Amino acid sequence: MVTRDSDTMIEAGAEKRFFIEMLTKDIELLPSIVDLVDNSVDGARGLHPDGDLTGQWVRIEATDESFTISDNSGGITVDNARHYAFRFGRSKDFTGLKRSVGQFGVGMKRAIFKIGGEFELQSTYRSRDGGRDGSRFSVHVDVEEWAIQKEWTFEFSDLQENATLANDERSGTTIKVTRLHPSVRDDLNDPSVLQLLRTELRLRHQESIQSGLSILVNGETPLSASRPSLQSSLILKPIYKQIRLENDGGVVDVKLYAGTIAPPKRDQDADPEDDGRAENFQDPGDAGWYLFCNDRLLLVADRSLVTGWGNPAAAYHPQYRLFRGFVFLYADNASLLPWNTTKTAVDRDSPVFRAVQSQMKTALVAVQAVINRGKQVRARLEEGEAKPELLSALDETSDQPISSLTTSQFMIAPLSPPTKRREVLTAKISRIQYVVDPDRYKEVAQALGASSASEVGRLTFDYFYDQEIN
Amino acid sequence: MAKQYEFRPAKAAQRRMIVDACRRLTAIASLDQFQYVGFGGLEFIDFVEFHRGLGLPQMTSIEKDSYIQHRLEFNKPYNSIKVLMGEARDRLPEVDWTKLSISWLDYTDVLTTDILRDVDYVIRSCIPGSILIVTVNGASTGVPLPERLEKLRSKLGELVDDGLQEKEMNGWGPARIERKILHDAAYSAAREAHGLPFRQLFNFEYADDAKMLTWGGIVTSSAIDRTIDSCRFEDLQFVRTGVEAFEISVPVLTEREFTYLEAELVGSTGALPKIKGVDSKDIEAFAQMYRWRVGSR
Repeated sequence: MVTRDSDTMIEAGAEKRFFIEMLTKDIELLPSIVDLVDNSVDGARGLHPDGDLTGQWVRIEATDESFTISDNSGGITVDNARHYAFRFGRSKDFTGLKRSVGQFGVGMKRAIFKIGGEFELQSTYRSRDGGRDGSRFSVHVDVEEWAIQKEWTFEFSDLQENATLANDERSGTTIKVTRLHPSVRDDLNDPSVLQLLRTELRLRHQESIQSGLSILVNGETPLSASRPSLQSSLILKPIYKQIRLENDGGVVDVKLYAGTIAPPKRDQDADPEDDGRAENFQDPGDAGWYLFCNDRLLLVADRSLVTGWGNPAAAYHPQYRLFRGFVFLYADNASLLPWNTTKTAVDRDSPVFRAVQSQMKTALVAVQAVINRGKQVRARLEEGEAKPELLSALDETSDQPISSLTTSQFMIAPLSPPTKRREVLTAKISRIQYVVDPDRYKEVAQALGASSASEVGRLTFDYFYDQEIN
Repeated sequence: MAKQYEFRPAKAAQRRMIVDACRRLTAIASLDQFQYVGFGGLEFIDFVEFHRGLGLPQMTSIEKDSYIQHRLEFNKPYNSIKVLMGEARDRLPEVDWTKLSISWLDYTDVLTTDILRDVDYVIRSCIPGSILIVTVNGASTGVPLPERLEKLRSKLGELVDDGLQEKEMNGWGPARIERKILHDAAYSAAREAHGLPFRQLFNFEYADDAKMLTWGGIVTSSAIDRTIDSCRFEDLQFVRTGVEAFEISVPVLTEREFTYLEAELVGSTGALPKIKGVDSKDIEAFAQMYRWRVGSR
């Protein structure tokens, strides 16, 4: 029989230093800052169940000495601070917010440890009914000292419970991290890193920004976010499916959009044959899939096997550069959603993701099919021939915000024009292409009286044929 | 052209067997709820068979050879057949997959990754209770034994098991590898899209000319799996849910011999009938397929 006596006990406690190191090892600086913003966004959304975040703000300020994030998202209750907010990992009895982004109960602490050696968190909480049970508190921690302590606790300073807040007093949270780690200080001083941070926040929180949230980084201009859009008209309509996945733990609502965007101007003028020439490959840019969980963006312009590229759809090729897909997953119980802990990718083993993934794959095949048809029709198009409806739809339809779309199980696009008989003949042509000195080209063009490169080509070929072959 | 049936008797019998199995789908929905998706070619033989056998009203044919479009429109036996011109992968998304479907991807080529993508797409897109059938060339006819494995690898890459040996590539060897690859692809696509693996029902080997594999089954889900059990597909002697294939071979016999054997066979529980001079293997083969033999009525 095993007795609980000291001879039979084996130490298996965690060393705090090791813990801090492990926690911060696998996350980069920018995602960890985005993670901090997640908390502010959750707070703001908690204040506005209707989703309108106008008037809510999150401010980030980075200087040589400190990194500060503050918000007016309502603050943290003393009870929440005491029992949940500072714990590492989410406690089982924490009921959490509906549709939250915060999920694992590590984001805030991990971000703080990642950034510096000392922090102060101040919170002002206003009770919902504006009564007297508001609170203010602050927590000040020297991480080095804390790492030496045996206890896994922090301590309140300035704790005020049952406080009455002035009407114009901001209720929210401020976290100031000081004694910045040297590499973090360098990064936060680097304008290009700050620019990346802005881009990342703009992208990852685009839905909240669209809903009115102001995010400010070292300045007074709130970040703007792009509004996801797809080409849509009566004759060209993207896929928009709404799917409800029921799971043991609850319901996940899915909105899936897939289609094309209008070609940028330079594309419309480009020779469509460029598709096959590697030296002209254009930057795939933003092509691919975007996947949001409770409005937080996880996958950005994904063109990997995970979202169907390569199987069952064709692998990425520049001809698909106008493809865009947007998937929004919503769950009251955020643990149903396929986050990984750093929120930089999806948890591929999640059954919810598997079901969604399958829908993404078939949608991608369907959109590729329309793009392929467009390419085939374009290849058959003869000089001077009027653009068939399919091509004018793909080239000229403008983008509409996806929020204005109505559901469609299919991608709707004009039919390809029927293949004409004479194409049997034109299919058996050889095409010549070569590069010449522009001055000499001009001379030849002038001598021939030709107005285009293709005319110069044909006339010079005919000339040679007449002189040498005939 | 009209004699095509007789030229490819095993294929014709197989078509009837599959139609016969599909009759059992009534447990899932009335048959007119199903649509047929196929590669009708110029003759639309399968379309006629499926329409006459099951009454399916809605049918779609995909044809890659765009130069025969006018002839296709002329040859299609029912005006309602929708003909989509182009590669299957570009046109399959235009099929209305919100309806139950019986899809027969009837290729003449050996299995390729392009074909697997079509299979993957159909399985993911169709709703549970739908049937998918795939026919591919058994990859052995006309290719010398030492080159068969290489040919298969060039088409399918790493999907071909590393441990395979050239000597396994004789006879039906390549077709069996193709079946496994199809099965594995369908298994995981269906599990991902519908929560349960694909249920194989068909695994035919036949050789009217080239060795061919016809493989297929039904897409299921937890909501419908019990209903599929109640279709009792396994009662049909040609249904094969595993690795072992059902080989269709049509013996070369005279009409008089056929008639005699049929008269003796039906209802008999004893030994197979015999005809002097006719190989007992041929009689066995006949007993396996006489009900679906085309030309018997």
